[in-house]
Amino acid sequence: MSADRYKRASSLFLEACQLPENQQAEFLQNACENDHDLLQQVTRMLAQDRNSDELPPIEDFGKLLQSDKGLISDLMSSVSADSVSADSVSQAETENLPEIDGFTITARVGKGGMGVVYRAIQHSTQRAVALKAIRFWQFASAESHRRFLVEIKLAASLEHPNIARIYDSGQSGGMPWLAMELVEGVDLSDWTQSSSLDVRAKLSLMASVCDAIGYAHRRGIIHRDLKPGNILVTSKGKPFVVDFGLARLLESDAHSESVLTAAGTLLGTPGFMSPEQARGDGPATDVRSDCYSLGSILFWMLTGQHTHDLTGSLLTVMKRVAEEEPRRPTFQDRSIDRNLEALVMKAVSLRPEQRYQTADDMAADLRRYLNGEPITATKHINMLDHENVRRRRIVTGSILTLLAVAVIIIYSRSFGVDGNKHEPLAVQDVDTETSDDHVTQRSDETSPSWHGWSTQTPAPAIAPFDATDARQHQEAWAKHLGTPVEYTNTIGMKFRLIPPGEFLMGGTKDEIGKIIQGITRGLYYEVEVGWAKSAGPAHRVALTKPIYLGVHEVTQQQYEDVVGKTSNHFSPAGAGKDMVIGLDTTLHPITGVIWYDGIEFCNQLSIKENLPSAYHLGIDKVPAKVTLLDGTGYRLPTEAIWEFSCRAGNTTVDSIGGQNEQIIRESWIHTNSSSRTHAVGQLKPNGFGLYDMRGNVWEWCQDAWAAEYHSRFSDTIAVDPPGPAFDEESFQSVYAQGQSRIIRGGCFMSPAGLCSASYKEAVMATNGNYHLGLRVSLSVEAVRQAIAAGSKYSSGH
Amino acid sequence: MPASEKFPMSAESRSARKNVDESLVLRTYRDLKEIARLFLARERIGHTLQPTDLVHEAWLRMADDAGPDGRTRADFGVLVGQTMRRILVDHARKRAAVKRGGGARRLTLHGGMFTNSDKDFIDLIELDDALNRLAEMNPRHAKVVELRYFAGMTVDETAAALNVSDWTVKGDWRVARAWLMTQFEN
Repeated sequence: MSADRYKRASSLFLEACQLPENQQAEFLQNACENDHDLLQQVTRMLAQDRNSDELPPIEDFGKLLQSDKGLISDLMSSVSADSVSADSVSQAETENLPEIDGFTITARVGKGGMGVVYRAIQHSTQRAVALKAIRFWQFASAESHRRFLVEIKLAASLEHPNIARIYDSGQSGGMPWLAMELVEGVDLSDWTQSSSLDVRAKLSLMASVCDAIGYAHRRGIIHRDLKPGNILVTSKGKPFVVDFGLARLLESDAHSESVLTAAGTLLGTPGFMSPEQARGDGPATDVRSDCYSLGSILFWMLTGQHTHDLTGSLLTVMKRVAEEEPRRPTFQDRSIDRNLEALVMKAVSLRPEQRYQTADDMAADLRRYLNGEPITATKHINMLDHENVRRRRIVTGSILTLLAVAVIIIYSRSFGVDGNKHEPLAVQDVDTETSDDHVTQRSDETSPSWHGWSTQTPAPAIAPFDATDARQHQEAWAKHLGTPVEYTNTIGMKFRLIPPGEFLMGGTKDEIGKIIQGITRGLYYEVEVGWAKSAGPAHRVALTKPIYLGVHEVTQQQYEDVVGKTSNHFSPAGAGKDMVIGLDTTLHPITGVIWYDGIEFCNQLSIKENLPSAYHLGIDKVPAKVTLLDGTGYRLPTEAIWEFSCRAGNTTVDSIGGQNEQIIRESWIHTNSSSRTHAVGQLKPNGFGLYDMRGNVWEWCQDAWAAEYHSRFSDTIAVDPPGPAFDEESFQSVYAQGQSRIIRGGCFMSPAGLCSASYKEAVMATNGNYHLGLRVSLSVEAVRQAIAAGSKYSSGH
Repeated sequence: MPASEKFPMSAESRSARKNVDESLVLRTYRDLKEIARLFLARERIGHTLQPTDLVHEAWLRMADDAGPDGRTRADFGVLVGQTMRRILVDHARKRAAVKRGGGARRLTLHGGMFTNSDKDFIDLIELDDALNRLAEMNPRHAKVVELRYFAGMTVDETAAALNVSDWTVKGDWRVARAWLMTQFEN
């Protein structure tokens, strides 16, 4: 459609809109005369206009946000100071698409370090091209500018199936541009992450890339900036190398700092740069520098890591790359075999003379490896082995140091010499005699009438009580029940005995008021206020059954032991892997579990330990109907149990405002977590010996959520409240009573207020995300049986 | 396209854009992170979350802080709208590419059971292509759609951002919307 016809259609459409519906047809007939297409177009527009005055929504934007973590970070960075302030000029420039003679630019398709890429039509050939306008050209000196143009002319001569052709280049208003083959695809980094590729696929793709680079080298052209972002991969898995020669523009010459700064910004990560480039040794940069980069890309594809540690300032990292031997890939991934390791290590040798001397050599070795033939790089192995001996010595040394440090830490923790004001450790302070008196005294106050309990039992733990009391209650009950205070199950999960007790559950008016004050009036205002309010009114709750609660949030390792392999967000294979580089995440809490996963985990673990299941999970319909059973197996805690366990007798710590410091010090929350999960059990346990009740990850409770549930108990004591009934039927609205499930404790991204013991949120049972994990509970009966079975077992030996 | 047909950005708007208060932007950035957390944690079924929700939320927060005047807000909106469109479309294209490449996605036990709506949804790639065609014929119309759809601007805000009358924005939107919808008919 031409602009003229669109204009004509627009005005006819608007005129027709002014008329009553029954006159529109006649008006258009007359106005369009014999122009049937125009008549049809306007008629269709009018029909659309009558239908609605909105555009349809974008499908599942929310799901998109959930599934595509990259989207969030892009959204965020797009609104960052960088893109609006510092970049505002170039944004304004690009908003009105630039004009370049000979092309019609139709859309902006991307922005790389080197420039902005547009989709454009080249007039002379009518073909679609990728038009790259080079940024930062104004920082380059006249000399490097000239060199760049020469280089581009050379690069334009390259014709290879794995190199994006350069069709044309030039300058517009002093800004260099080039028109390239339009490759519909994603860059290597996205490709590697989005496809589930085996090693062979990666190697074979890299062999093609090496072919392309080898071809360019034979024609005298060095790429100089090979990195995943410069390799595009089509949907069929065919790689295209782009941006040959562009790095020329960045090479520093006499002219200096501005170039260096610009280069620093542009190159971003020196993760794929050769040592000689990192040294800034321009003359030493040759084809083997590209070989190094190819090797480092391969290293990264295989391990997800860089050849060198990239933390620290740019200069520190450059120095490291320039001077240190790369890490070995097997350091990250033990599954890489020795031949492949030798191949990679040869490619990324610190000294150019030890590397593959040409990209063709590297391609050949890759193919030999793929065919199971001997590779040339194996000579390298011997050298590596010598190296190995030396390294092992160093490693042994470091382990010794680590042990020494660990001993010191343990020592200082035990004696409270780390500067924090400690509550005295329970064990040291318990005087058995007084403790018995103490418990008996309490017992006298409350028994025998406490919810029908006999005087033969230890006193219930009635809040407020402190850590010492908590410990005494646990011990008294353990003795009474014939089970230990702490129990470890068959997969190493630890549980602590939570004694029966009574406490004030929920937030006081004052607390809830303060939480509501802190809620921003936004999209979720009503919902969040609803959650905050549902924590009240504060009311007495009695828990009459002792129970064991997990000392820790269920870890990734434990979850996998029971359910099987997962790809957790904060793990080396997860979307958040960049946040946990170099960390052993097996002891981090599992995240991304939906409520049903939690139920499933409980049941699987029960089955594993021959315990009767606590839940029946109907599989005949969606969502599955969950029924509570009497089984003694594992369960998610009810929120009453959770809150009682979290408080451990404490009634004051949650007053919002004044006393959050304790939460901040003892929990992984937004102020100290670096926006990720942490290994469980690193901070201080609470009075019952439970770790990370607040922060780290939100924890699923068994209960459904209903706004008014707790108000019914305002003037009575709730005894073992089970929460509202589940309602899987009405899943139209998340906020229907009984539909969503309760999460507790806040997470690593929460402010301290949301980690208060009384605060709760409600989440769809089918939603999970990387802030959300679980902790499970176990019945005393199950522990008793396990102990009995265990002691029989040991007595038999 | 000839320069004369390009939609002219007002000089005032251009200079104001450079003056977008940096602290405001940082604050918004921080807020958006928090909003994103909320979105991730609490997707609502029955409410189709839209990018405009995200932008609106940011603005509500800005307004709470007795923040920017209309001008700054309009300029900020223009940036957000344009970035939002680009990011969403880029992602839609990437996903489409990955799908064609057969990249396997792990589905959880309960995954996908709520793709329940019979509502019509827009195909972002189709919309983007159509908007590009529209921009060639009438850049201002395309801009109005971008601001209203991707930045969630009201008529008034759009008018302020483009330095035209409300009446113009309403007319542009009505025509552009109807035309775009005819493009999706097949």
